[in-house]
Amino acid sequence: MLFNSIEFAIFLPIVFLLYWFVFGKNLKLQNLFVVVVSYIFYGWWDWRFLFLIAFTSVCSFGAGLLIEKYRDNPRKAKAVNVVNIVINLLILGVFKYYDFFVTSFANAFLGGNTAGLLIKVILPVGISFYTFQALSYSIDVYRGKLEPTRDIIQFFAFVSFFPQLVAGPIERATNLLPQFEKPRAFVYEEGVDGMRQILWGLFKKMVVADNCAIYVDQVFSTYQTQSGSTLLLAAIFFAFQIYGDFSGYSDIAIGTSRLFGIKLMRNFNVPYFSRDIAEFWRRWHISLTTWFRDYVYIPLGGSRCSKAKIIRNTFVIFLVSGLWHGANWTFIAWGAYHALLFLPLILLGKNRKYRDTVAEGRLLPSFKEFGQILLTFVLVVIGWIIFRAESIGQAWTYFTRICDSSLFSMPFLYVGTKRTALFALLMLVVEWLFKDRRFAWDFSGIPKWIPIVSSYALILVILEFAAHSQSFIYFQF
Amino acid sequence: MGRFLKRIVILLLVPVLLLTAVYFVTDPYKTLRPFSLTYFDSTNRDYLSSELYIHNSEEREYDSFIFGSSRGCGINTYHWLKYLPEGSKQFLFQAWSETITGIDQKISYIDEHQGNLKNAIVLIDIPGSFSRNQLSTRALSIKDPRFSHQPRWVHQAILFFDFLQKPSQWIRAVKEWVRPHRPYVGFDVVSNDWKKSNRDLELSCPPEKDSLGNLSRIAKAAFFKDYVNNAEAALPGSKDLIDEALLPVLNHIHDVFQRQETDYRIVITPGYCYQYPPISSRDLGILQSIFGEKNVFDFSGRLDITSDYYGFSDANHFGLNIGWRMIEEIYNPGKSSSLN
Repeated sequence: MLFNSIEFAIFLPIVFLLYWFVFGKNLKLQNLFVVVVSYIFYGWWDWRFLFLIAFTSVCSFGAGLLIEKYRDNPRKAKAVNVVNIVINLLILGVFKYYDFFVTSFANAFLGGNTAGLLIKVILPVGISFYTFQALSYSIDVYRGKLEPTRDIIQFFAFVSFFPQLVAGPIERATNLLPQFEKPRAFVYEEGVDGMRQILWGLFKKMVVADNCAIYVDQVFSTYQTQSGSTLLLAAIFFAFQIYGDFSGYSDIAIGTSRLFGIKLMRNFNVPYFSRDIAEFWRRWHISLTTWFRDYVYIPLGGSRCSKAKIIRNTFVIFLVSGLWHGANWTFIAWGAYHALLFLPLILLGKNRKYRDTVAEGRLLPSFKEFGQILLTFVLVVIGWIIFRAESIGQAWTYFTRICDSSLFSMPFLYVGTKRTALFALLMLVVEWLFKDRRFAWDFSGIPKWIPIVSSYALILVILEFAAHSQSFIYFQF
Repeated sequence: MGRFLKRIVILLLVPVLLLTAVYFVTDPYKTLRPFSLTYFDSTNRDYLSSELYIHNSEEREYDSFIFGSSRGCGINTYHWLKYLPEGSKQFLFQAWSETITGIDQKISYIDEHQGNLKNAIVLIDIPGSFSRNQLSTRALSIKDPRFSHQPRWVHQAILFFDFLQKPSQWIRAVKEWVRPHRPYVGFDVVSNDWKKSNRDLELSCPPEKDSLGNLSRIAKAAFFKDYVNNAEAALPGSKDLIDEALLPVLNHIHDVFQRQETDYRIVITPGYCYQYPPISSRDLGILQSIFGEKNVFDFSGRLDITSDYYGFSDANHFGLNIGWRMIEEIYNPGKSSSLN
């Protein structure tokens, strides 16, 4: 079920009313209800893959209990943890990466002959998200950061909580699981904020991302005949598309969770206003970045080791992050590209230089800050070309075509392109104005009529200018 | 919780009630009150074309029809009349986003109601005409329930909910209700043609809007220039669109034409955007095998046709100049060699 679908518009209010009015007084029933509606939400796409989520949940739940049982026997506890990690990664590997690696191997050593080797199974939506979420639980239990839960319904609700099941944020058990352990109360302000955040997410997805997608798809499908300026514009549009799409989903997920009295972590924090790549990665897909930091980078030694190991660790985390996004060399190249951008900062000890928000408390950035933001954005856009391309070769051709003399010609504008650019600009302006708040469209403390008028205006824009509904990009990851 | 629900209900309900009142007062899609010849509305064309046909058919006794989508607006039926036997009475059965199933339903309706089908042109758009989605949920292109056999209340409900979702329709409905006559939109109350040529329409409408695409003239010229420069390289590849489910539909159209001894032409229309690929050779072969090679005319992907600026209307539609040239070619095959 898509957030931007009529099905969800019917599903959400029904679930909301039942959750609070019918099941609100009994925590166990309320959690069971969360599991049931979450499975309906997921099963709307393909019910067969519900077994996979259930299996992942059972494995991690069981692992948590066994690790606790063997608390006095570290070797056994470690073995349980490792087995659970291997099982989960094996499932992920089979469904997501098996065909990719087999094809790559066949191309390298078998002359491209893959006859009888591929399994060609469809990729279960959101498998990378819920697998990582479930893994975080057993690892945290193993590390002693978390007491294992003995309530399987609570655990199933934690893994399958529908707002963030298929595209995150990838929640930590330490944050989300305790919220299923205690009774939840509806808070009016949280409900209003939730609605506003959903609205802003819908704008970013349906108006910005989906309209950008029209231009991006057209240009990327005919990139060999387009001018450099058109290709550059499409790359910039893709930057807005992927941001609007993914952060829009996160906003809807977080807003929806607020309606159910659940607080999810922030997943995007104005990443396109970053002053260097390190800051960008602290603000982009925060739940995944911190997951890799805590469960891969730091166990490898992080940045508190020799320079050679720092370089290795940086490459490992970015390559794995690239691979997490999909089974294609372009994603790995995208990860490597960001590792190369990140390395100088970490080696010079400047990767933590910008921990505050740019121009905090000020309306405009300084010239220096503006230049830094622009440069970082350009570097990120180059990365997005690699990410969006279907092959490394296409990315390279695309990039070289941008750099020819046609870069200085007028870009080809399709019908509605200028309007799309205006919406992207509007998104940036609003996010800039609200950058010091918890989310854009967070009107807390502002006279009541302003959010009402603004929200009506936003609804009108969404109704009138939403592009033809498209699935969320990150569903495939 | 009560405060929250109350606020949500008030904030949502007030505008919805207001819009419901606007809907019933203005009747934006002309489906709530009896048909009137002044209903020159450019939305819900399927229904309004049918209304006009039903309203006139007894008196006019139409016998010559052009079936197709909004691209039919690029054809002047009075020009077509020159190629028809004397006394022929023509009707342009246009429906936005028309499908081959929609065309079949109209042909069946005429046939079942003892109508004559002496002459016919079936306009086929690639890929739209072979769309699997036969029942549109948009007011612009929704099918007439009398032909599609959709329950009337579903038809009305779709129109109403579509209206609620489109602010531009609210403004249009109120504007037309206040000032019903729009000089630049109109349909011939006899043949259902667009009343004026597209170029005339452009001249008589506000300069920042053209008749069909809401493109400014400058943007339109720029789009066309770019199209001509890139069209050949950017012409998308063909896809096979006719599946098993559509074969009986095509065969049925052919059977009715055979039975009625219709002089017919199947015309595959040209488009401008990357979404409009040429018809695939397989699909062309299917059409030719069903309707006969001499009756099928393929203009899709014909850059010699679409590179005429004076025949360009907008990204999705050709203008009267191209419509004129197509009629010339299909009734004088071989003569207009410059188009081949």
